[in-house]
Amino acid sequence: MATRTIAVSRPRPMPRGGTLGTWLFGARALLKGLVITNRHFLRNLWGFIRRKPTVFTVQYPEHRFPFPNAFRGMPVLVQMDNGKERCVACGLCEWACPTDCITIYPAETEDEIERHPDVFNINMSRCMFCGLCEEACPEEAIVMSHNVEIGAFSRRATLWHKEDLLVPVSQLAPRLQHIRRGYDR
Amino acid sequence: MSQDILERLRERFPADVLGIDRYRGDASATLRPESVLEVARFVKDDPALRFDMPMDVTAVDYIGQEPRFEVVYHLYSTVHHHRLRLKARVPQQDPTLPSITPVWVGANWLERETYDMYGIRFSGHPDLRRIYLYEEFEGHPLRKDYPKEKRQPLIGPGSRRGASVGDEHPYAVDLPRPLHDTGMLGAELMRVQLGPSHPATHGTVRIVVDLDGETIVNADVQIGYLHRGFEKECESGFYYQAIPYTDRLNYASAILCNVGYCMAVEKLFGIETPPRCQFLRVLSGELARIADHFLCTGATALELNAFTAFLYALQARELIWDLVDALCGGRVTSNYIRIGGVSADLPNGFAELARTNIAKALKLLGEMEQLLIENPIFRGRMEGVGQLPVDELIAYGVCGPVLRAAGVDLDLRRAQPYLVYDQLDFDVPLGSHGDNMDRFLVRVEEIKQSARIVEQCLRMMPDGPVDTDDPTIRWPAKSHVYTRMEELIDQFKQVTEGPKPPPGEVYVATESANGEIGYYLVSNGTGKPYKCRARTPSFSNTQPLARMIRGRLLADMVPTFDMLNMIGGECDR
Repeated sequence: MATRTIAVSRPRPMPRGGTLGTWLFGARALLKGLVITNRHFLRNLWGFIRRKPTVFTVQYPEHRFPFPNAFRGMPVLVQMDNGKERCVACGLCEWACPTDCITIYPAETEDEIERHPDVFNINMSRCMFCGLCEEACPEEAIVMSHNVEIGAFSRRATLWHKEDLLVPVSQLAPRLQHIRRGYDR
Repeated sequence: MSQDILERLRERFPADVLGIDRYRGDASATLRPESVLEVARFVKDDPALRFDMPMDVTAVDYIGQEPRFEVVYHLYSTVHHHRLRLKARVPQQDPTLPSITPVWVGANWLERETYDMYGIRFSGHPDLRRIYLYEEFEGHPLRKDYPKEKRQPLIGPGSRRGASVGDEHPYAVDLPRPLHDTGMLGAELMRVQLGPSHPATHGTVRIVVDLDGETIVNADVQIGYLHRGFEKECESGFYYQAIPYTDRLNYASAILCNVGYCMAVEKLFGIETPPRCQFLRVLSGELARIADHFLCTGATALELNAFTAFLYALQARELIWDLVDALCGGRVTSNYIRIGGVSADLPNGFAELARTNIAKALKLLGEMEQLLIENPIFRGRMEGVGQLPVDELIAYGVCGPVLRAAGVDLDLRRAQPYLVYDQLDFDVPLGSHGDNMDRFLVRVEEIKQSARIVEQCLRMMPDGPVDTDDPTIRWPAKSHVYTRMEELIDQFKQVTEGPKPPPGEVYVATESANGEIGYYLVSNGTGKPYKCRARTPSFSNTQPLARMIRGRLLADMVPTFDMLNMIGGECDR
């Protein structure tokens, strides 16, 4: 296929000086603008009357925006049905993290899975939600959630510990499905 | 072609060309440092070469070798559409090179940056001061012996010299050669600081202007307020870890920066990606381009007091970002492209969503156009403002819509088609006057053309894999990692060691929303890039701003700055 060059079409030169033409030109532009803005206004008013809002803005804390399945919010740890984390503290997410925001101290347990993280901290003030930890994880243990409301009043509160990060596996079903579909080739 | 360039160069300068190299098709020549200026003059003026555009000047620190620093020039010819890399080694003791600013005026800022980051001095440079960092900064951060973790307190002006702030004007800067010292009526010029945070500039940039009444007599553009050490960060992480950082170069069109970086690493490996992956890259990149142009045109309208048009543009951008979100999982940190592939295939129902959202966005674009293009106030402030002669724009290294508005047919998607752009049907809009109005119209037209490209991609996209199946480059598939030993080992090796391209250096240029974004990568065979340099269009496009607004009214600065579309993250890196 071919690409061509085209010249952009500039509008006709504006009339200069205080002639009638200048006034008409300005008045026409003004009316044209008013028609467009009023069309939007009346459409939104009609939507308001019919209680079917057409306004694009989402009134955030009351109404929320539905996230697509691919959306990456904060990373969380998957909690299995027995209440334990699925993580085996292999440290791949720690390696993959570009900002070094993950800290893991591995430990041994008596359970069937013999390793687990004794400490699993994520420094949320450094995390940029890139999702490389999720992509590196060989156990499906750390996934990106849809939670983005992680503001805090102190620096200390932006450090999330293992207990805060655990989310039951039942709540993460759509994301796990997306991982299996998305990263499977 | 590269054969001819290098042979010609060697023929003309047998003693000065120390070596030539054609690694992965990039023509590069190593020069004697004293001869740089002479060779630069020759390659610019020779009719068969005509390298009229300075793309990049940077350096590589080969610590432990002598001579230690290698200064690297990348040149481009807008006439013949070919490239050349010139290199010269300078020793640690006296890292001095002749400046090439007499040949290309655009090398000015590039050399200042190289001086700032590596401490290389350019003799004959008109104004060699730091560009990103402050004068009191100690050391040169991109040298390999400067530790990444080192912190320096931000020392205020004057404090190191033992003088208190009151002794002199705290923000006194030496502006380059004023045209005249006093104004029209014999009064003193007034110095005004615009920025770093100014309501009329959407970006952290400081513009110091000397005013004679309302006329700008003299201007100095100071950047670096968003400098965060992109190159140092990339050099300290694995190749794949730099991908989210490239998102933060041009945060208005992050995917285009991803594409260029991943293509550069793939060129180091010498691999091709599957066709479906290439279509996905084009598709996502064009969505990002639409979003970027909507932001730029909308913000320009805002700063010229057309608030409604701005809201329509942002609504349209929001619709596009919904698509980016559904595809990549993030709006700003899209982190979508991977080395040797993309992170995920199209989600279900993406094509229908894309068609409806783009149709809505184009409708809003039409309304925005009607509000602005006929409007006498908008036109009065845009038409005939910000022009520069074409040859000067090229010598500054200006690219993208700004250069195309001046009528130069330079779009890398057309000049050197990469990915699948040669299979697509689209038009490259060109302006005729080179003023801000043309820049605005070119951007508006490019939105429509990008929408065409997206539609063609959706229609023509072939089935097949989206990643290369080489386990030494791309991470293995998840289902295999969960169940098979071999792939699990691959995954561990890939994450902890990174992909290891063979030693060599490449430069890859792609067309981003503002112009050519080029990545210069040097590999030493390990999993981390030895040198990762981003040549960004905002940097070269902001440089002539001072020249464009000199002699104009102060109010002309606003639309000119807006239409150059300086993105702080990309300019300051």
